[in-house]
Amino acid sequence: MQQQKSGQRKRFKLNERKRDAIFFYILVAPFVIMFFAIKVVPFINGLYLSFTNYTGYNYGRQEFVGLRNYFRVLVDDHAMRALGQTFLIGVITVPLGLMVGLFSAMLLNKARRGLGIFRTIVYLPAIIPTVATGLMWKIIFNKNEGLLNFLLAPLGIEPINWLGYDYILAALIIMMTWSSTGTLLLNLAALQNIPEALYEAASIDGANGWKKFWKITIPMISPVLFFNLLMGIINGLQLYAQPVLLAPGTNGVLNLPLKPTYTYMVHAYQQILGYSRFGYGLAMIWILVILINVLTVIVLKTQKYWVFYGGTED
Amino acid sequence: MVQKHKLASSILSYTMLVLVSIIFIYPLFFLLANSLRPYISKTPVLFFTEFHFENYYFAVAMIPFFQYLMNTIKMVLITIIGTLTFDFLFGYAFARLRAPGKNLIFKLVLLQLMIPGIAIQIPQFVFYNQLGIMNSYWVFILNAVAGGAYTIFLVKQFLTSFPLEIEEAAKIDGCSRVGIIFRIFVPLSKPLLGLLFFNGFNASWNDFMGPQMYLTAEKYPLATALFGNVYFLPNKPEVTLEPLTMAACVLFTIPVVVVFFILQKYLVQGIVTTGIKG
Repeated sequence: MQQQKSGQRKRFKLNERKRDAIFFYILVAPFVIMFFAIKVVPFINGLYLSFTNYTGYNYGRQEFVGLRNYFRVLVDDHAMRALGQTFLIGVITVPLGLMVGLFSAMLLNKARRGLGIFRTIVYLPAIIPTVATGLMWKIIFNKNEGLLNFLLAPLGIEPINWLGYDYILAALIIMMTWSSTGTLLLNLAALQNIPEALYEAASIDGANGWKKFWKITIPMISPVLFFNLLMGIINGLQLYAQPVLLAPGTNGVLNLPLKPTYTYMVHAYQQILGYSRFGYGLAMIWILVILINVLTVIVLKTQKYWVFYGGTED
Repeated sequence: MVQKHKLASSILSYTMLVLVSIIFIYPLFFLLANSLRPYISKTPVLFFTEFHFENYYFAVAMIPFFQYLMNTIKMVLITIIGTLTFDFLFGYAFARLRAPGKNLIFKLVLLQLMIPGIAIQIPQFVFYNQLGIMNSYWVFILNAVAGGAYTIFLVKQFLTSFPLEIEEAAKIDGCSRVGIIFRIFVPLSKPLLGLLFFNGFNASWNDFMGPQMYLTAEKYPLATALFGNVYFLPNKPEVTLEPLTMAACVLFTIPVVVVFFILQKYLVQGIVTTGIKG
């Protein structure tokens, strides 16, 4: 009797497990089907096309050209200069963005009163739609009727052509730094997780604020900083919208930014959307993807030298 | 002495906080103030001086603003319904159900997390272009059904943290599998759903590239339409009207800010509870 009952329960349990599994498969079926249908298939197709001269119209004369597209990207002056500028912009804006995010989070962390309102204000630029940010700053940077030159005029500074060749890089950096507070909430959460006792112990040992910052704050929030750095690099290499929004012209998405802010992705979108050079454009994309992955691996490797995963890691 | 020092440092940090806040908020204030200056004026104003609300009328009337707005709303609905149903159910399945091969399938999520967005977005565009699927919302609907890797990951992280006994207790009480999701986990996930709503709303409200690739001008949402839009005097195209552009920007931005204010607390909670730990 006892045995029978336990056998029944076992069968019942097995059944339950099977039903659980079937329920799981039903739930994730759309995910798996769509993953292959609209992600893997286009991906492989795109990989194949990057080895052809496909332009959208030449079905009859489409041929396999091997690595020719890839070699052409590497000797394409526009692409390589654009890549250089992309790196330059990233090397400036990524650390600047990290510092702004950290600095404002530290200020907010000290505020006992009014945290909510200050947090909202500082976070606001990060949620303003990119298009609105671009249109707004383009007007602020305007040479004759912009805010910036208007503010600088009383200081005796001649109107600066912010959107011209010489200053466009500075303008882009200012705009991107303004809207780089998106890391604020994550930083703030990390700072609030640091046990107060660590600072108290350090104070007793006679550490000053500077030392506490480098020996406690930075190590304790280094996982978050690391995450933000990685995201910054990945997004930075794909930079596209902001330079185009500050560019002259009325072609919208296909406006051509001036050389200092002409990024790699701008060039790629020009090839694909502007000229339908799909084979060539895809080769550009795959080169960038490889570059992003290589950089990601390198940054992940540096992790062990400066990222501190404390005992709370699960 | 210590008290005095503390007071001084607190005054200093508040002063800095106010300064930083002014730097971040002033451009938005400038936008608002200048959207109300006379539309023909070329001199920026630093504060509210005049209130020309007719600018807003012109900004809306000179382009098919409401048509674009309706298109934006369609895109937002597709994305939000997609993320709240499919992303949530996928994440739920990965977090709470047991099945052979689950880890293997979850690797497909992780794989997508490691690939930059353009590696999928652009081959997709070329592929649909080859197939001739153009000017239809189907592309966006299919993408919504496919789910976003980051969001699925977020849902999984959030739902994994609840104890296993929940399901056992529910099953003993005779709750069905579907019932467990809707009666127990949906109510428990309120902050998470708030975060998903905010992210989905923001992403689709801001998306100009997807519509640019797949839709024609009459189906453009506001983001794409405003991207290259310049307001000018109808009979003198060389005279641009910046106050109208600013008014359109304000109108375009207000819904995002409103949604942010409503869901702000979930955003903060969501980050604390789902906590991305490196």
